[in-house]
Amino acid sequence: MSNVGAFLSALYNFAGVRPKMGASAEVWLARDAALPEGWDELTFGHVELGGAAYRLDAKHGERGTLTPLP
Amino acid sequence: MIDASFLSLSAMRALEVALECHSTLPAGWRDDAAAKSWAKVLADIHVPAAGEIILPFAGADKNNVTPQTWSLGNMQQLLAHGVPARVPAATVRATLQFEEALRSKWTAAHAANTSDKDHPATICQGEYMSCPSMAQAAALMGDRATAGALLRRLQTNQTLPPFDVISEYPGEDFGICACTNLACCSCAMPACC
Repeated sequence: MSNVGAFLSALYNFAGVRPKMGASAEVWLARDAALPEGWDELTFGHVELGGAAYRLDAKHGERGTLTPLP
Repeated sequence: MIDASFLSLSAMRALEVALECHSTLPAGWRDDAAAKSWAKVLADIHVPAAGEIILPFAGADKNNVTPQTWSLGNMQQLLAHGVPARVPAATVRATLQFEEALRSKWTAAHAANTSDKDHPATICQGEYMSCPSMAQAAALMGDRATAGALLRRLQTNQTLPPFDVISEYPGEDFGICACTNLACCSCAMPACC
């Protein structure tokens, strides 16, 4: 879990996601995405933030966007 | 007891989250005396530092740094979870910049497998988990090239075909037979068990 967890944590951080208890999912997008060279955009097809499901799209240098999933 | 900054920073973050959790509890479930003691512990935790540089442990000399007197990565692994509120942003940036300069000079054996200098194909040079942390730190500092290079290194040195199973260390030709590394795939291969 540690190696995979480290990679997953890095992905969230690349996307600018910072978990915060009791806050809405939008607040979890704490800053603009900062992606590695060669990555223009990072997409999570299904993430659970604050108890709800979203699609997360994060373009480099921009604040990510959350789309609620049904 | 060693006054290690990673343990101190991790403990501070854990207590911050514990206090956040406690504050969300409904009346009757809270233990204010306990929360007060957690807050005191949080305030009293000492983080060894010299100016704006967080030291890996008390007594480390930032003016006389060698691989034997400094350990990298004490803060990078916290970035995804949040650095304790007491640590100023300027300190975070200064420490990351200071350590990145060291990482770029040191060999793999001394830079937790994230060195740009060499990559001997032997085990025990550093675990997979160190590279993503360094990569996210580099990206946050605006060094996209280094972030990309670190991730490509993982793919080249520590990802095994045909199923992209992760090896714990570079040079290993097998995935780990435990839950640490996508165990189902590796344990399906008799040679590694």
